[in-house]
Amino acid sequence: MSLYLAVAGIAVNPLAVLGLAATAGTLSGLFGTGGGFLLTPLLMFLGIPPAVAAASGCNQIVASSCTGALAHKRLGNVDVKMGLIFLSGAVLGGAAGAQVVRILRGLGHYDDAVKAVYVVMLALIGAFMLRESLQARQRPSGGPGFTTSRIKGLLARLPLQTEFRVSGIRTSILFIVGLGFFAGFLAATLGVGGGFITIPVMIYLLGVPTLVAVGTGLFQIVFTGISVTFQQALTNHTVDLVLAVVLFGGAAIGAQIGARIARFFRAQQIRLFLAVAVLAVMAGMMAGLLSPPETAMTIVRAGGGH
Amino acid sequence: MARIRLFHVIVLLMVSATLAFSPAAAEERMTLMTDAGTIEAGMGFDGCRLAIAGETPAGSQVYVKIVGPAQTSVLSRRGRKGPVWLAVEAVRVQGMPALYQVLSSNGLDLPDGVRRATGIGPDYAPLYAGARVLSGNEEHADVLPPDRSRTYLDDLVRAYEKGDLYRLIPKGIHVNGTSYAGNVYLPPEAPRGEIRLTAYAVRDGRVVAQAQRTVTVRNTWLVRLMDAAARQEPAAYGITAIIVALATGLAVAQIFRRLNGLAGKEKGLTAGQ
Repeated sequence: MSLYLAVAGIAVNPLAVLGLAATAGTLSGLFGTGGGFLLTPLLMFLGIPPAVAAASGCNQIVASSCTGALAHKRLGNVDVKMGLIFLSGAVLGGAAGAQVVRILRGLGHYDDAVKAVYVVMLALIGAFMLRESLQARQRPSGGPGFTTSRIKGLLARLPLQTEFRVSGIRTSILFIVGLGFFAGFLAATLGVGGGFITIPVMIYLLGVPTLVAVGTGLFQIVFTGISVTFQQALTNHTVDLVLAVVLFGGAAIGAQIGARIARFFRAQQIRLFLAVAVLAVMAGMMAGLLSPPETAMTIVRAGGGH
Repeated sequence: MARIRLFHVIVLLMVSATLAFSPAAAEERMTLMTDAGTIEAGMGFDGCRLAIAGETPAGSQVYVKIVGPAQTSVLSRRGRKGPVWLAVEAVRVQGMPALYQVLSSNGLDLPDGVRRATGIGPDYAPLYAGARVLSGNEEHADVLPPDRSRTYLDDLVRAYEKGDLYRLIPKGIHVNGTSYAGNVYLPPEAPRGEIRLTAYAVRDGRVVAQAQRTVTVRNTWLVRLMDAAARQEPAAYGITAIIVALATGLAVAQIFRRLNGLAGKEKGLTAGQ
């Protein structure tokens, strides 16, 4: 059984794609993260070109995040003002990221760059989460513990301070735009929503209540995903709609499974599992970069015969 | 398989009938038939087997060459930089067909004259003459000399062989008297476009007859639409992708709301970022 992906130009096993998406979705439901940072590397393991995996993964993020964002909006957990300011940065970051993808693909370095960035990013996230979850086991509360007062002090000195009533905080517009730019850039280059970075930043650095941070994070990710999907389609022609639809299905089912499994574990256990999952994917990608390739030459792209 | 066998039987009967009525004329005559003239490749296209058959002069060996449209490929060579294997050089290869297969009723070690006439050899070297390997960007490209090109062409061939696009199959044709038959495998990634099949009858060290046929592999309308829309109408395609994503997300939310039974169970709908 195979499924021909017209934009990727390759045939894949749809059950394998569905299975990967369901796995990423389960992790997403289990750990409360988007799962995009695991989905893109897993798609690359299946042989899908990284640029198509990242762009189609971003399209999938639109579908998966809009369900969550709607639910949080109904519950009053979305700070629309912060989300819109964040979005202005995300649009700029997404545009910059799509151009970087275009340039790196032209130079033939995108695939390696994206893998290298993933290895570094997953190593940092995995190590941080592992350390944090192991430390949490020794704390009576079991919750995360950080010392962020110095960074908070720096944020308070930035210009254009404004009040965010829903979040109940006061911070600089520049910082929110910068955070949005970073999230947009990550979405375009890596196919991730960036929630695994932006939501902790909102919670721990800005002091946004957890549910509002998650709701606002999902709200901005819907629009970041829309913006980046459009820019990737326009600039790089790498959005594979068929792949994205299979991913929607798998991720949606997986997210529900994950949410149910999560009830059987304590928070620090879940964070420990996620840390191990992240480090395992990182190790797989690193092995790919460090071990000699099967063939010295790979076909980056072919055309002219279609 | 049943369809292929039936096809072969029909061809054999036709060949026998032809020979019965004109034995002298059939001696140097060659035909080439396939069980399909057009192959429609849809989203579930899993590759296909194309049955080939025909008549050939008595006592001849049959060689069938299948050549897909030429295309430009970008090859990236990986090299070690410190502990990491990275793309260190990229070249463009022009003039190599995207599909190349040779089936024969005998070995592929042909006399020089036949090799020149058919372009068939024991390896893919005959293709190299028409290929160009270019380094540098599209504005300032340098054509690499044959000795440097060869490494790249060998690697391209290996990559194509891995995908079943390039194959050399000695004894892939069965000759029975004055008829022959065989099967060509076209993988899912077979190039779309016209594929040219040429059959050669070789006897006493020379080509005594040949026949040609063209088979078209084309995407079904939905695949064509997706491919064309993504490349030629990227804005409309991007908007469609977004609408589909939003509609799917909302539909999934509704489905799970109903499955959960209670509208208040919205916590379970957070699918992530």
